[in-house]
Amino acid sequence: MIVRNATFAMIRQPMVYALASWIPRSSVQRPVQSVPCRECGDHLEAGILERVAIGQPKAVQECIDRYGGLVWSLARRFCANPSDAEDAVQEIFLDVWRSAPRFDSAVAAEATFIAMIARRRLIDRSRRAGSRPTPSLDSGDMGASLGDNKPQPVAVAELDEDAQRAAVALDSLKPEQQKVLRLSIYHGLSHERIAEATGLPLGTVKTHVRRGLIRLREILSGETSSSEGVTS
Amino acid sequence: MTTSPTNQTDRLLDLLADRAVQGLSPREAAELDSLLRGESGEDASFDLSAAAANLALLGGRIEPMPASLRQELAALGRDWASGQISPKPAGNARASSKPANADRWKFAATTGWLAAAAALVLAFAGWWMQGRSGPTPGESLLALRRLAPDLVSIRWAPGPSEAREGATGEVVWSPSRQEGFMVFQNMKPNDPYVEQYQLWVFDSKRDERFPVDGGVFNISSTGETIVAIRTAVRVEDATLFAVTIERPGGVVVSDRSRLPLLAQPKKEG
Repeated sequence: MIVRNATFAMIRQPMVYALASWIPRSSVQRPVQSVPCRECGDHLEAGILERVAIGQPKAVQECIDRYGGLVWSLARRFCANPSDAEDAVQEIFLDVWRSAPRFDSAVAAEATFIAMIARRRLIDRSRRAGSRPTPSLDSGDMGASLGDNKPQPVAVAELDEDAQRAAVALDSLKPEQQKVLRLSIYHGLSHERIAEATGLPLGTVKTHVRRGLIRLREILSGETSSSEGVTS
Repeated sequence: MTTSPTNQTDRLLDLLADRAVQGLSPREAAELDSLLRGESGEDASFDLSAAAANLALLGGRIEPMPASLRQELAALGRDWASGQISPKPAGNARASSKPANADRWKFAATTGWLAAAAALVLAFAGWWMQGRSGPTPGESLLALRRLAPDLVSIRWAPGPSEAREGATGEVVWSPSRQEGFMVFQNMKPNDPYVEQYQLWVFDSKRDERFPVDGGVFNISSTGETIVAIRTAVRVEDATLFAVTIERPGGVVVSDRSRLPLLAQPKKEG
């Protein structure tokens, strides 16, 4: 059975995503500002994307200031050169502003939502270019990732709540699963290249990716489950 | 033989996982759409999970944007906030500066199934090419906005005959690059078997009777459509952009009897 409370709808059926149970957020770490409600006139707290959605010009610049580095860093990992990355960043921000009305802070953090849009656009650009992303691997990064059993240490204090949970979720996976997910999500390698790099059968790579994502989803949604491939 | 629900669920999860980490081919995307129609709609949970994991793995390795990009983004943001950029993604259309053979249209119209088959093949080829090569008109327009310092934007105004009431949009033109785009919203779609739109660019350096052909194009929906301008010759000083309605394939010289939209640059000084 598919776990549907994780659904986050975009594109065709925007109403479907309003399933707040996906992430029972204990705290929302995002900048807030009081904005007047168009209908009731009350002043409400709103995040950047919510204010972009209601057409507040200042929020657009705030969005760039706050998330520009994040989007740029993602783009640099996916794009072959800085020029491509710059084009991609502009496309991504346009997507973000257009998608702002669909953002729901009860479902995901702003950074996660923006990273999702960025990843989709970057993956799409790579496919249109006829090639998989050519990740800009840090010196020795690839070797480290193949050899390490755990994700790289992360500055959790810098991360939003979703990313902190994702770090915990990654840590709970079997070492082999961690490695495959890292190569897939962080380095942007195709399943085939992961199979080549790790020596794992292609089917195993696909299974690790799928089960890893299911486990991530469970932890992000606060579900308890005895999924396969979990060490604890 | 039908696919069992379990197999369908497995396949759906596979496609959702693949989309989250490496994207889907057009065929796979269509298959996912089909499977999701049997569910309650779009499911972005894997995409969000992958994004959260990406953030976790990225950790503190956040690079600041280059200053030049920050400035360009700020300008783009101002355009966005002021409503100069449509809040909806653009459809794709391309003007042809080469008039098609009108007889072909007639022939195709009289051979129904052939026309349908050809249209299907062309649509597939167009879709395939769009997915495989080159930027979309929307992306090209975005690049032009960024790259052309002399870009001129002129709002459409109703023309003297068959004015398209409610149609909005603009002409964007770079004299130095000789590139431009027409942006339309709420423009009445045309039946290409009956008539087509054609752009004319009036140039102060040329005889007013012979404006430059800017290409024949179609409007397939009332949503936003972006059409690249294709001028066959150089335009030195554009003084007016005019859209006429012509027979399929366009004309060499328009009688200007059907002139629904105009865009006139403001005179300096």
